[in-house]
Amino acid sequence: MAKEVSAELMRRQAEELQGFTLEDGRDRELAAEVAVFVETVQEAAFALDDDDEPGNFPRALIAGMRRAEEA
Amino acid sequence: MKLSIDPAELSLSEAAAAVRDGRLSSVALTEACLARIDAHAKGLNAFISVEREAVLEAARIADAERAAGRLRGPLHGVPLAHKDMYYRKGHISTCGSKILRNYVPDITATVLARLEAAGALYLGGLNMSEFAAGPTGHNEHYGNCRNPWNRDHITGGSSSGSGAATAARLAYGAMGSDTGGSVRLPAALCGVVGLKPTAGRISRFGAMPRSWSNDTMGPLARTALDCALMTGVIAGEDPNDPTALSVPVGDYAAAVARGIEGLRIGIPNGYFADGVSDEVANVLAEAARTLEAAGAVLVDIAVPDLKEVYRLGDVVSKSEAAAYHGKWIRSRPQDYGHHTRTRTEAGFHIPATHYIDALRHRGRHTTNFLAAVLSDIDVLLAPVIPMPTPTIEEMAFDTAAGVPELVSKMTSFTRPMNYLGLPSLSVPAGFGPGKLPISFQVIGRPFDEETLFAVGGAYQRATEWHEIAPKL
Repeated sequence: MAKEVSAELMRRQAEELQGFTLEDGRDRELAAEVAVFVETVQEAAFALDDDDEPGNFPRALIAGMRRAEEA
Repeated sequence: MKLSIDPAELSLSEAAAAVRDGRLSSVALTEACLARIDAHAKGLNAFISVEREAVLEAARIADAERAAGRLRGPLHGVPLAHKDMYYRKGHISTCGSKILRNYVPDITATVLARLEAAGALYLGGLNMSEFAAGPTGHNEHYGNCRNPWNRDHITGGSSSGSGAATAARLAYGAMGSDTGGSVRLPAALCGVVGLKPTAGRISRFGAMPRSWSNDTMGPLARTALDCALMTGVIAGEDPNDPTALSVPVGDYAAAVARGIEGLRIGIPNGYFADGVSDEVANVLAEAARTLEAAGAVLVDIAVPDLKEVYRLGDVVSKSEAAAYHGKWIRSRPQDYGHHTRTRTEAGFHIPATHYIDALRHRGRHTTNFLAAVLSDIDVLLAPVIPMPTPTIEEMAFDTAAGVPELVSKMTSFTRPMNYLGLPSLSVPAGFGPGKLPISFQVIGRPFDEETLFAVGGAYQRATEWHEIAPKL
């Protein structure tokens, strides 16, 4: 079940933080879009360690080039 | 090589060999493509622009060079067309949008420069989802691209014209781009081969960004060998794109021919198997048997749930797309198609900490996936989409209910590989309801595109799906 995100939050974020106005109904559409992944990201944050950083990704690619027994 | 009355029926590799050997001229290839474009491009909505005089002149020059004993490279004199988001200095790149309808860049994409240096010609710019946002091929500004096998059905996107034009034999091959499936989906739905390369394998310089972190540039063509030839030309590090890594480029054309005896191919259960329609599952099972008969060893693999990977990838793509489009969404929101704007605008509502956390997770998820899934096999065999090809009407964002769910389902087997950075090759493997193509993807280890091409080549030597052309 997706976490509930309010249309009101979308509207105020757009107007107060981002500097544009949402047309009627658009706030609800956006709330539905954001609700799909917000809970996943909130929960995933707990699985991170101190040494997880964006630069680990290219390192993971290079390290993963060969199967473990070939490395 | 087969003899063909229409040179457009040749594959890219056959056409290149014919020019190289002097059996066909570049002008003959180009005129054949232009004749088919005249006859079919409009009905398919495959092209945004056709550069008739310029490409014919380039073909005449290519023929003169060949007559003088000079071949530029492995694609000498072969006309290609590309998703209209690869910049060419001094030429319009619309990016499938109203906003950039008259945009003239002052740089040329590294990919296009390398293709040209290898002798390829430029036929024109291909239709695409607006700003590469959307996996279906709908476009409110240039018209929906139509599937050559059945025009009521979607082509897949966002490289919609690349799939349609290549399948319809309007061009010998095409560049697409893949941020969440945008090469593999149109390749699969139109029945051609498409490569989503490893992140960092092919330069992104001079290509319109959708998501700097998830974007990859990949070719679509009729055969694995065709894609291998294009990949060999465009892959490798680029001083203009620091994310294009200094990893040796393989001999991909040779890999196509090398056979797959003893290769360990994973057959997934769990993710990539759950929720797959019978039609798709049957085609995948038959493809697995074909590969086994060619010498591969099939290994059952439990694939963990990739829903979190999918969503983290989506967070990254939406955040970066919103950043790129910020100025236009604020100033010209009415110039976006409805679905493009909705998909992009959501990125404004993702906190920066969520975006950064999604990037922090990426290396860990890639390492975990490699350990859990690819540690005991060479490649994973998986569907590209879990269901048969939907109709254009079924996926019409403004009229059909449940489209966002369908879009998520369509990309559920492709988007995770963009976030994980892994290469994947889509290969046509049969037909489903309505005689629409069904394809598989082979997913490999980072920078191991050679093994993917070996699998594609072995499969296409054993089957004839790639030889069947849509009746237009």
